[in-house]
Amino acid sequence: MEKTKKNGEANELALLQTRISELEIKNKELAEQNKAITGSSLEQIRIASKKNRKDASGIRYKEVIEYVPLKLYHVSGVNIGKVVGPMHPDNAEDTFMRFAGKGIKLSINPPTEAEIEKYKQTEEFKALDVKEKKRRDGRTRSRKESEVDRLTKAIGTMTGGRVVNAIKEQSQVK
Amino acid sequence: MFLKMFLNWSRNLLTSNRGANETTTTTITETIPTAIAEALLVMEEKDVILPLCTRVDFSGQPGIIHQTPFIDKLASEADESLANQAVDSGTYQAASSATVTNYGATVFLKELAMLGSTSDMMAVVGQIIGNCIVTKRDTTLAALFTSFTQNEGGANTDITPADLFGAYNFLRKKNQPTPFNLVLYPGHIWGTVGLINMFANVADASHFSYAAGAGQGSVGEDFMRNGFSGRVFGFDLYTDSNIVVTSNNASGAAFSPRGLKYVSKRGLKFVILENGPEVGWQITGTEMFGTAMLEDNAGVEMQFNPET
Repeated sequence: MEKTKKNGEANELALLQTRISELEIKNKELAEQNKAITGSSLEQIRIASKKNRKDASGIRYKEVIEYVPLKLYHVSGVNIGKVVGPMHPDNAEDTFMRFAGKGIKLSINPPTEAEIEKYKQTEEFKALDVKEKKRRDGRTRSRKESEVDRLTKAIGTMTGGRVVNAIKEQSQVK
Repeated sequence: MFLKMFLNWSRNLLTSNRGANETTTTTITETIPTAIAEALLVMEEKDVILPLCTRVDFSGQPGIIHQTPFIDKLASEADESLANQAVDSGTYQAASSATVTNYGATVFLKELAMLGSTSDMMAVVGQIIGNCIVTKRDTTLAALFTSFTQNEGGANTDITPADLFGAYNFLRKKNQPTPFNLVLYPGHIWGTVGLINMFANVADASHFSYAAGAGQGSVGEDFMRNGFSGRVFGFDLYTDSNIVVTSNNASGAAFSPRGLKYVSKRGLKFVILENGPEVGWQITGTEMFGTAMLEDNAGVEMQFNPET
């Protein structure tokens, strides 16, 4: 009889445990459902709040300007595609005439990549590019060439054309 | 009983992690109103170029386009060519014209914003508008640098001493009056390929050749000591962050005061209108001025890589 009683108790315990785990699962599901509802409601309130905001404490600001500034573009020369401006339309007109007087073409429309590539294949551009590279090389030399470089070149010339690659310190000479 | 109470109290005092007078921080912060300091306006570059231009007072005169004609000089007494006579047709450059326009900003200030702020919002608005006009003026003048036909630099080019001497040479050849001013983007001066590299006392690719042998010199020492040097390569040096940077290019300029013209028609004026339905004030601040390149031979565009 005691054995039967014990079996009965064990069964009840098992049933209880099963019921508890079922309730826990359901509890979790309800909590997530609540969160979803709460989350979506809160989100909706936030969206509506932003949309309907009257900006009561805001400061609206607008610039006063009476013209649309114009940009001009180089359509020839080594600086093809370069921007001039932006400036007042009257200044743009004067600038256009001034550059035209110096043989530099400007346009209100920027040259496309294809147009730039096509222009770079012309003889006019190649001649100008060679001239510009020579000019920049001369300018850059003043920046790059140091006393050491000049000295090594001079040594190379004196010893028959080979440029000395490095000048050693006294301690490095064996 | 009293002993029991005393023992409970001393146990709480010694074992609890809260002191006798402590309370929760949540309660305290709810009762303290948030203190807001006065707002700080974003800093902007202001009026670098204006003092370096030719300034014209156009106020009180009719018209909105200010023109400056040019007269050719005589070549020599012996030259009897008609083209060199100092009369009408002998102009080497068309007249410089500057069209006067309205520049400014309008701000709508709500009364609620004013009452809710610790700052004096009217004063702040005035400062915002003033900053806007001044920055606009500087930006408009800086944009004119690209309209000089002489350009010492080029696309994606690093600045070199020869470029600066080239600009100086051009202005001298054209007999321009001093002072010669050099306005550069900050990257042109302090960038990795900027002006400061010309005064480094190292034998590498980024210095002026004499510096390596003789040391960085007094200009280099100025940069090292003050971070800036007022005068370099014959120019009064200025820096302006309103110069526009586009894909490794920024155009400063070396110019004489005859390079640019600033024409002032009317100074700063504020108009305040009260707006009942919107419960606030419309505050509009404007200046009337025009800018233009004055003499093409008085300026040189300095287009270089502004790498920072």
